[in-house]
Amino acid sequence: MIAKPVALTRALSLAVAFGFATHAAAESLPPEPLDISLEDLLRVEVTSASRKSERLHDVAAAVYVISREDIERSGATSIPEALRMAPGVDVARLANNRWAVSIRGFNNRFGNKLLVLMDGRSIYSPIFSGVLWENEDTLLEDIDRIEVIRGPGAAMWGANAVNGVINIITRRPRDTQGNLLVAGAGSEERAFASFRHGGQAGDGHYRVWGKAFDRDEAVSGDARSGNDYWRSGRVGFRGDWSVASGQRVMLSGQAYSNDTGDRWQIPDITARQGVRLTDMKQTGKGAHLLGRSEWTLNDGSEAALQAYVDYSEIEVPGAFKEERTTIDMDFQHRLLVGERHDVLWGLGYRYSGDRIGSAGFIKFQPDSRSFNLASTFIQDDITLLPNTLRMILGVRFETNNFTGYQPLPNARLMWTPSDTQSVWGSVARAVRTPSRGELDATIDVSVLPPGAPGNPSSFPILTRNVRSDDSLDNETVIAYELGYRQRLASNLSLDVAAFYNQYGDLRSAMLAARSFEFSPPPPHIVQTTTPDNSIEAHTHGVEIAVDWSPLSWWRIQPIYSYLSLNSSSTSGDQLSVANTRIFNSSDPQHQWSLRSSMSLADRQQFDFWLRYVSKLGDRNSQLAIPAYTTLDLRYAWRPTRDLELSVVGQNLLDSQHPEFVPSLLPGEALEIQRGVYLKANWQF
Amino acid sequence: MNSPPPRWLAALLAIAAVVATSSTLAQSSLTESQAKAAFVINFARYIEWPERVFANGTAPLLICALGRSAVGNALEAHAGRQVQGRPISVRQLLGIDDARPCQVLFIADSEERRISQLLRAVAAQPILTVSDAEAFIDVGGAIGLVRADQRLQFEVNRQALEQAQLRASSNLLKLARNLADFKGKN
Repeated sequence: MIAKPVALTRALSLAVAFGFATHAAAESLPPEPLDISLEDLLRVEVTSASRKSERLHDVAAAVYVISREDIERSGATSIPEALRMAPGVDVARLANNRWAVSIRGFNNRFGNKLLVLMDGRSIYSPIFSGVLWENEDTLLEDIDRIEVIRGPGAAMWGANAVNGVINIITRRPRDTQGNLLVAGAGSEERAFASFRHGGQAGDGHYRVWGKAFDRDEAVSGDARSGNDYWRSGRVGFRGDWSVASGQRVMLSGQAYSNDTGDRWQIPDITARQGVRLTDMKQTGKGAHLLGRSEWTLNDGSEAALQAYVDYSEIEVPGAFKEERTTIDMDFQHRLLVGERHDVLWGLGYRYSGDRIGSAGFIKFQPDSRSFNLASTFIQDDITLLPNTLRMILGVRFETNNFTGYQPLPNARLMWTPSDTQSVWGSVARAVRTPSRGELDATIDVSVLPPGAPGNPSSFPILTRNVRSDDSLDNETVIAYELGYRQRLASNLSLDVAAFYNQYGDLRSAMLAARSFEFSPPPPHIVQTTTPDNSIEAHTHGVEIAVDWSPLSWWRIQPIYSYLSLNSSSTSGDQLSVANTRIFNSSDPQHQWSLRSSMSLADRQQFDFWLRYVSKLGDRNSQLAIPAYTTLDLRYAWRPTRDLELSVVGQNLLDSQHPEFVPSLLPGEALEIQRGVYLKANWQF
Repeated sequence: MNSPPPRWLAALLAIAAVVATSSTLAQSSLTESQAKAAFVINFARYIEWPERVFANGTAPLLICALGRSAVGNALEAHAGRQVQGRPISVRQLLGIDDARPCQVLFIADSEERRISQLLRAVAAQPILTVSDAEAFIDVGGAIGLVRADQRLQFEVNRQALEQAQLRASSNLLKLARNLADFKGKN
């Protein structure tokens, strides 16, 4: 169905949308519906208890859905901030314009084991193998839901869906008719404004929108401003049309321009400390156009064809500039075979070509390269016992011009002993392909000045990571998962998932040749390192999500995530061992959060969100971050049906706190400050 | 790293607690399922079925529900009431094969992934299909319930009504948000 973007038709073959209120039992007798006219019914406000639990009941995977209402009531102003609502997700804000986001471990600014799609378009960057969150955005009011699928999704979604898949799905234009104006201002969210217009055209609906904002800078530990300003402008559109004979067509596009500031520690042999703290400016520009068509065949089966072209440009003057063009095509066909087989199969092709100019301490070689990926997948959702037992077998075959052919299999079992309980299990294999940066970049990583610990010589030692010459392999994971869901009462649901993952061939590096160089002066030692796949790891963990509506106007959503990660070096190389320490200290072991949403009298809402994240790293390690607890509050009031005013306070429990120390592209660990903003949301 | 919470925060929380406890819920609002059931019953008032589907002038109007949802239960609460001079009878179906005698078929959104198949099974029969599944009318359903913020709205597929030999009154059509004269707000 056209309005359901790829995600829905694909999401592990099961629709993952929110359910609806089910706490009828707790209510008094239903009002006489025949006494309520249709006109009045259209005006009645409905309350929702456990919106999500209903449909999630049927999904044989660890899925959490962040609904539009959740986003609105969280007060989040960006997609990564909204992702903090899902269990198993680790979101750390490095600066006001930078995030590290991962699922089930290995967090990093470029969380490379996580695939993110927006309306069916991958926003995973092949140069960094990760998502540049500062460049990805949309009108938050247009997001219908964010489906967060923990665990490998490679059989369905392809390589790099190692630890999870995030689907950001926007609303149908039919649901965003009329005009919307959002504007606000605050201390950290200095100023923001969005506009949307939705209308009808022919046999369909469209919307056009634009947004712009200016965000304040964070501070470093010693109270200097962080040079992490962020100014962004973005426009977009989406149109959905029904054409003849039940065929549906969707067309969407976006263009953006982003200025963000950053502060890098650039290695410098002439600097006394070995680094030059340099203010950088990063500009991002991009645009994409996506078309999708869905239709029902004569035999009742459904087919979908999607294609998009995406252009993006990232420039950091004095360091590098990347221009990238991506063309992606995808076909899917879903049919019922007999009574018991729900089969989904598909074909995909992607071309991604770049041109990279680099200067200074980063050098890409060659400066232009293209990545071609062809894939096919098939999945069979087999009903073993009607309404009770299902088995889902899937496999994807993928081939690319970097690391060749890969099979990505997955088997799942779903047992639904009753209407209120379900148990599922899964075994899957997934891979991550090396990024363009890992394959082709030569980077000066650090300088040890003479006399520093580890450098007894009287010359600076420059560590240089040289390009891999395509010797890098895929990283692999074998993942085992088990999940349980129960609706304990009509207003209370529980979702538990546990996992054990084994990783092999994780990317690391080893010490290689050492040489003495006279130029550029001063004379220095160059210690080269070469990338390899010398780390293995295993993780295990549990995630718990509860959704409870103790009263018809009050909803509470606690979540808890536990993660244990152990990595070890297979080479014993000094550098490889050092990298295991980075892996071992990148993720909090415990995270919990409690969200409360109250719908009060006179169209008022009062919400709070309390979060705890346990420490990162050992106390004395460079990557150490102390545990923190933070609180966001939101109060909203609708003086009229079409106008909402709200005030949101974020990170209220301390004046500032750090969340992550960047280990890749080393920068400063900035601290996130308390902030308050006011917002008006007007529909007309 | 955590400095103690500022005093104004404690004050704010206290105020919030007072607001929360003192303000009882304003409207005696319906749950979403109750509202959906009310819509379904109301739709039946505006639809004209071919005479032949009823055994006689007082035969009940049969409303059926398929799929896992609380709407089925909410519908049952209305059994026995009168619509178009006929008593309402409600039945929760186990499979689509039992849908033949129904005049109204509510398909819960739990059945979303097989909606096309379900609709094919009742194609061309004088059954009013209603669902809260996403994009229901796009795949050939007659009336789709959609949620818009805190309210529910509905969309009508006139072609589907025609194929089911059902006539809808203009009072129904003009309230559907997808039809031409719709000039409402989101």
